[in-house]
Amino acid sequence: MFSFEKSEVERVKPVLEKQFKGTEDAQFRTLSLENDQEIELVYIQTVIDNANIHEQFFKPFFEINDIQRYESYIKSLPNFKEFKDEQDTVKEILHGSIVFLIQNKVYMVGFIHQENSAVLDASVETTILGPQKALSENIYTNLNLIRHRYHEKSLKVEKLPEIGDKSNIQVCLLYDEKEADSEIVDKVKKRVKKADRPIVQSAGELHRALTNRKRRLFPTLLVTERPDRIAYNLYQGKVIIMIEGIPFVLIGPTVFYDFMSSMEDFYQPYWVSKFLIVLRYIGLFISLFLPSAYVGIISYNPEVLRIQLAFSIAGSRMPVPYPSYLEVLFMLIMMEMLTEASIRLPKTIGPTATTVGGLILGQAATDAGLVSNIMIIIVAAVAISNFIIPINEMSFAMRVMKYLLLIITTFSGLIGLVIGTVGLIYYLVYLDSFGKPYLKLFTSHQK
Amino acid sequence: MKNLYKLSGLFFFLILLLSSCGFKDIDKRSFVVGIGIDQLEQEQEGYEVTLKMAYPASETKELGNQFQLISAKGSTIAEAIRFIKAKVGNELDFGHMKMIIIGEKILTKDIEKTMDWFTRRRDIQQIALLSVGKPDAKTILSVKPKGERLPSNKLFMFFDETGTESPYVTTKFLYEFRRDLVERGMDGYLPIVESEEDNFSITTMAVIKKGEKPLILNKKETKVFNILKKSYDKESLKVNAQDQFFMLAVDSLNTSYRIKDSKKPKIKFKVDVEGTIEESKVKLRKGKLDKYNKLTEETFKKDIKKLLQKFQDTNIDPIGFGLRYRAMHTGPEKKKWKNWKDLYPEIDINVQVNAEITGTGIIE
Amino acid sequence: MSRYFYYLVILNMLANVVALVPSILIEGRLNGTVSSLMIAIVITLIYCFVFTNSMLKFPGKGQPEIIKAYMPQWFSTVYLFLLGVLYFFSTWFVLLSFIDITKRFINPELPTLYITILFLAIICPGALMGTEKTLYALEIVLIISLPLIIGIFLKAYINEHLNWDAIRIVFTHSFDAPSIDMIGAASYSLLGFYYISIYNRVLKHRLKRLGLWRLVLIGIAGVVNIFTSLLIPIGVNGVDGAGHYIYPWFSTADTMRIEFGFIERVLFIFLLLYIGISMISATITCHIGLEHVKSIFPEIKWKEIKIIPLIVVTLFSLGSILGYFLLSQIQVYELAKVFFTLLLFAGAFSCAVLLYVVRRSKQK
Repeated sequence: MFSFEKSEVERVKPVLEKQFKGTEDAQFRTLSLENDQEIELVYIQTVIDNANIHEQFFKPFFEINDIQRYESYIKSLPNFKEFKDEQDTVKEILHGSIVFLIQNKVYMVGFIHQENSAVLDASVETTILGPQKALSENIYTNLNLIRHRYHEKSLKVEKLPEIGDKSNIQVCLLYDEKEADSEIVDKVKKRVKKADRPIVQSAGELHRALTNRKRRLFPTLLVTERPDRIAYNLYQGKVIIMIEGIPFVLIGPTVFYDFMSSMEDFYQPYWVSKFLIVLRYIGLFISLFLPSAYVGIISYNPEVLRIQLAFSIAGSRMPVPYPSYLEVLFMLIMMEMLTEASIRLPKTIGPTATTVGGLILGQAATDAGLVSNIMIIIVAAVAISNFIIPINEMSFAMRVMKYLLLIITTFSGLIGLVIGTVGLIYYLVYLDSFGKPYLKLFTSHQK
Repeated sequence: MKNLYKLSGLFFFLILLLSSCGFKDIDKRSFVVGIGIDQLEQEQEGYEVTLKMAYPASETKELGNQFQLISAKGSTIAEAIRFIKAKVGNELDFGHMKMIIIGEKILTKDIEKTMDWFTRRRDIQQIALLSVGKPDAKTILSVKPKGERLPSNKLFMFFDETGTESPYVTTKFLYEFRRDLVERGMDGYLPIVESEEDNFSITTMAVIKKGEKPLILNKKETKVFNILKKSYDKESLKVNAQDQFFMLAVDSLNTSYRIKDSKKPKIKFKVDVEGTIEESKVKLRKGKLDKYNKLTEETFKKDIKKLLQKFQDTNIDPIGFGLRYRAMHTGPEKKKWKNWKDLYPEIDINVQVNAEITGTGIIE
Repeated sequence: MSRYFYYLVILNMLANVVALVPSILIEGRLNGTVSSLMIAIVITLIYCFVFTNSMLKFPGKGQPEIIKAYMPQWFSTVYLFLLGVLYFFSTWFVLLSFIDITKRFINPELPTLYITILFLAIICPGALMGTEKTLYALEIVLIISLPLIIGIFLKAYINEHLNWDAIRIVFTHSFDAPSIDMIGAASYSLLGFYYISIYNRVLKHRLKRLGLWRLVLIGIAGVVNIFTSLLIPIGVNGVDGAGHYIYPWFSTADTMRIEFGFIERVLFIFLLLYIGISMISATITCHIGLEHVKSIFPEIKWKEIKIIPLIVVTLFSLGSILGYFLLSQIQVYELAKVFFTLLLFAGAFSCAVLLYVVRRSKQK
């Protein structure tokens, strides 16, 4: 060590004192032996495992009773880290490390404690036959869960620089080296590095930060809570982005079909799962096209329908005082309110809201002659078939999309519906997810 | 860039304002389910057009009885329709018009001129059903049969293959009739609908040739014609000869014809019938099936020949022999057509029937 | 062999057999259509063979790059520009006829300007997408509509009211003298292989050589396609009546009905499917035209956006909007005839240029 260069401790200590002295839960402890040898510990009480610090560090110090030997004890600990620079040390303290100032050396030991490592039940993407547990909010617990589902030596875990200037959230990248395309991995890393947001608290938020498109309707990264889906996607060569403190991960690159598949598809017999997939696409089409097709047919080309059907619709629309698009819009918005309300409400009152809204309102509206019976059927069909889309983000996107189709159909009839549909296909095709085309038929399974 | 978004948004909004035409709700339209064209009583020119308009009822149980007949007179159909429009508040919608009924008296007029309006309009279905109303179209349209869920539903159920099937009903779609009118070598035909109190009866038909008087076929001829034209096989034949009397239920029936182009041209018409005996007034013997076959053949042959000769005598050709002749010869169409016109009145018609009775039912 | 190549060929076959091409063919149905069709198919298959295989000698490269590399600059600039213009013309024809069809059959009250802008608002951004992306969109649209369209074609064939004698009459004129108009029109529906001039860029690694039997397969598909497009309207509307319709195929689709379907009238299914197909077809030809024209200008960027394609597309949009207002339907029809005939010679020329380029590339 050269004399003109300050020792590690001399560099670090003023920084630490400046940063943390005023903080209530920051601790600066000095332990001294009989021979006046001292070591200093710096940590933040609230992020480390407070209960065990005595057992792990204080007691051995006095038992060993020798600085040199204690130093090597510290070095032997599993979460030991060498000193890099001042900034790194500050960061480490914030992430639950204990900093040891022993003589002129600075050591760090990760001693993090998190309260959120319980594994949660799958609640967003439920399956009947699949695993019932989802991820936890702890990144290490999650890694543990995934490792147990994917025993493969080529599974790589990479720590990325923390995200958010303020939140400094830990982000991990997970991929199977053998399966994943290295180009895509690099692309993901670059994007994550570029993401700049002061605070990131959910996977969706990170998703927003990761895409270079500012205004986005369709999800290009999949958010999931299911370890089995993660394992399956690892096998498919996808990259998983894990975020500290969130029981969801981001999967990329994901294409349209990924959002239309449920893990259930793998757990059912072949034909059953094919049937389910077909059902899902029918649901998608119904929820997208039914309202606009209704307006287009009713108000522009009633000759499309069979005469019997045309007459029953005309009959049921007789008492309705306003044009068809208002009727559709009114009922659809009521339905959206109902869905939103039942998400926000506490679980105990949720069912009441749906009963009041769905049954009573619907019945009363037809009795009052504000909407036609057929309309109630259509709205119900749209709502139900929208819920059949397995990934939440996609079903939200489609919910918005149907209004765009409705607008263009209202103004230009069935021709507008076709043009809008082609436009939608173009838009989906135009999108890509980390360089992968978003919508492409017959994507060969990439290995 | 942001301004560009806003600008394009504004532009799109303006474009949307351009439209909003043609938006008319289903309940603001009056659906015409049937149209009747009649001749005016006194004057020679002009038509009386009757529209049958259905009104949707808000209660599903009330459906059916709600219709209105509106008539107007005009020198052309379009003019008459314009007068009707003045009497109706709602937009007239011809998109669901399934029945076109032409008054019997119109047939003697130039039918092609009458049909012109129907084929020109885009909103009239090409698969609308055509028929002749006797004594006039208005009477047929005003019939109110029992148990009708939709106005006119019963009438088009007659012609529709999804409804009743009767050997007397000939179905003619608008496009077919138009084709037959224009086509050289094939003449059109229409079923004749008569009203019987609360119901219809369709048993006869008219064969129509451009610029000539229509030929009305009677009940029996209609039945034979349907056999020849459509190979209609859901029917029974009556055989009554040589102290035998039985009904033959037809299982399958095939017709085919050829024009022999030898020195003396002739039409060879072949019919294959297969069936079982359905009803008999005298005792049948099992060993005598051959004889019964022969009897059937003879009876049937006579009927067919009679009908074909009637067509030949009146120089009308609904079967399409002329078209077949044109399809068999090369050369300019005009010449072929002239040749055929000369040939048809003299051509020999040779009918051959092969009957095969496969059984006598479940008793002997 | 990449499936995308076949998609392009099939797309062009489908997109062009309902609007202008069948009208031209049916107009000359009694004047050597069959011989014209056969000549057209042979000529186009030869073009197809020469052109495709020459392009495939340059894997991963589009026609602009190839021409620029081996030809003098003045020639390549003029040549590529003219080719681009030709592609824009074919986009324009598709656009015009479908705007007209929309107005005639779906919504007569919608303003033309509005429909035009609506179509262009989708087609232009579509054409600005990456070359590969247009292929994906094409695949989706084709996979959705192809089975339904084939179903409708088959249904047309098994329609019992189809008059086969009328169809046979067309064949009696097989050996009449062919006409250049009809050869041009018939060959136009087979010209999908030209699209490879740009799409060769993204078909790399997949396409080796267009073998003879694949050529025959394309030929058979072309023959079936073009004869369907000619014969079905004749069979349905009669050999003498088929000529009366402006859009024979849509009038033909209206004569079909699905007795037990949700929608009874086939016309609407057919129309909506064809609007989709024509849009993707317009997008792809517009994309190719754009790539050709783009290649002769240097890349100019304004705020990170390449503006040459935007300018070209805007000019095209303005041109097509103006075109609709300046030209009547009959003028467009006559212009299309000239255009199709012109393409026949342009095809020979472009094949010759490409063969020359292949020779020069071998010498180097």
